[in-house]
Amino acid sequence: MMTGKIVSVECYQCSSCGHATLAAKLNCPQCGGDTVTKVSAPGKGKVLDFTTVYFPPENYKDRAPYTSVFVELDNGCKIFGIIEGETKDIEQGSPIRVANLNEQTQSYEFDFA
Amino acid sequence: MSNKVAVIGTGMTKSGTSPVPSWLLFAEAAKEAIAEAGIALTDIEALHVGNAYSAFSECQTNIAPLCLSSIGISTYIPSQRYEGACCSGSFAFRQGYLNILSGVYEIVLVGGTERLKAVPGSLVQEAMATSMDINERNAGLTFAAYWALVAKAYGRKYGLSEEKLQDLLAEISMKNHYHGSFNKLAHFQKQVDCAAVMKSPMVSPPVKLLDCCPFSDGAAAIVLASEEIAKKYSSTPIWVEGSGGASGRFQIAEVEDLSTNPAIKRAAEEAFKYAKLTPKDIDIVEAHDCVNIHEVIQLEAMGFYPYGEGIYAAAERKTYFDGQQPVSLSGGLKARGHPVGATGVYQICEITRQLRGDWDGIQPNKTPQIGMTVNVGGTGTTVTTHILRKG
Repeated sequence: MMTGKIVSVECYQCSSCGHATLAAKLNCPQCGGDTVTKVSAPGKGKVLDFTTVYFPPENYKDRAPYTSVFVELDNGCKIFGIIEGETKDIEQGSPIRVANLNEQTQSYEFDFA
Repeated sequence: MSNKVAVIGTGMTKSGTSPVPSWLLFAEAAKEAIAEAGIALTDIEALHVGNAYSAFSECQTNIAPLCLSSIGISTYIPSQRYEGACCSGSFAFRQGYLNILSGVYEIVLVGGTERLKAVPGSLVQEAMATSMDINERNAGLTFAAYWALVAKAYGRKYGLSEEKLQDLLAEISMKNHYHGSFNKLAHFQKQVDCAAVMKSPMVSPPVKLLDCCPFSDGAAAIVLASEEIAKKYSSTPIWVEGSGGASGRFQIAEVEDLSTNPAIKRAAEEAFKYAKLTPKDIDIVEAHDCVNIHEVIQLEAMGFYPYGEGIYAAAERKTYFDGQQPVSLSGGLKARGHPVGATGVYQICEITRQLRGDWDGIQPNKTPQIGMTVNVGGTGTTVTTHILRKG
């Protein structure tokens, strides 16, 4: 996994204030601006928080325990994803990158930057 | 706002595991509520019923007319089913309340029903996960992981170590199990101490198994009536003084501060505004402790405790039956259980019986006059609050 590859993240960014979200919006929830466009952001940022999942959902049952990580990308977009295995060597503010887009779940997998 | 609305009949099945489908379960609760109200089946003008997951757990949708059919109501009255995750039941109640308030109807049957335990737990978990954002659940986030992040955010904000936080949260589970041990309709009727909570398996740190409620089967029903009808049929009407609703941020990533929920604050303020009351006027509360930290979030957002102080309420016995404002004399979701689409209606039935004085469970020290419920769905995304008053 430690290839150093950075996968970009498709997100929605307000043309007026720059607020970015993973979920699509027609208006900016922060400033009310009515021009929100789809952008591709570099998948690197920092850890906001994390927890280990010991009781996984069906689509992750072969991967537990894994660490669910809450990340803020450099453009401000906040996203969830996982790091394989139990929580270790991770703390708030740790630099992190999006290492993979899982085709099956259409979700992001992280690794340390 | 020309009218007043009262609860004149309540019915609840035992929360736990049901051998019959949700619509028949609802019919049992409805039969009890209708008998208590003393009305005829033909008096009922509409049905609103909450249910979250029948499409997944019972392969049946469109259950509102099926509930009517199961009760044996054949008068062609309108019926609707409401889905708002764990808040479905109180949506149905609120709709019946608004119907009568508007003057359109005078007698409305409302309720909620859920049957989850006939299918494997993994299917239930999958069904419940559909109440979260699809991207976030696909990213491996679970409800328990969400509550873990809420608890961590709370602990960080108020300077609590993980161990101290877990200790204080265990006190809430212990309190709710204690109350539930007196409730014959509760899913779990046994006491559980803090040590047992602390020793239970880790789900997502800091959340352990006994910090979480079970899934339950169950149904609850209420007959709502206008002031004129209520005075005619009931010697102990319980008046709906206020009702509030709100929606939270749907994506967890977009919540500014996970240690609180402005949607709960909004829903509570709306109910207080219509009731012309404040948190100190409330004698008893039924809260939505799907995970024990959620009870703290609610008590603070509703104004019962300053932010950062709700976490100590159970440990200081303030929320026990003999405390200043008992919370969840039913045992809450932890012990009464969580029949998802029915939970909000159980809460209102329970407050009604506690106010009427015919509550078959642990009694508060002071005879209550005013009670409040808070029912929350999803990751804090659907919220309904109600204030009820005796006499």
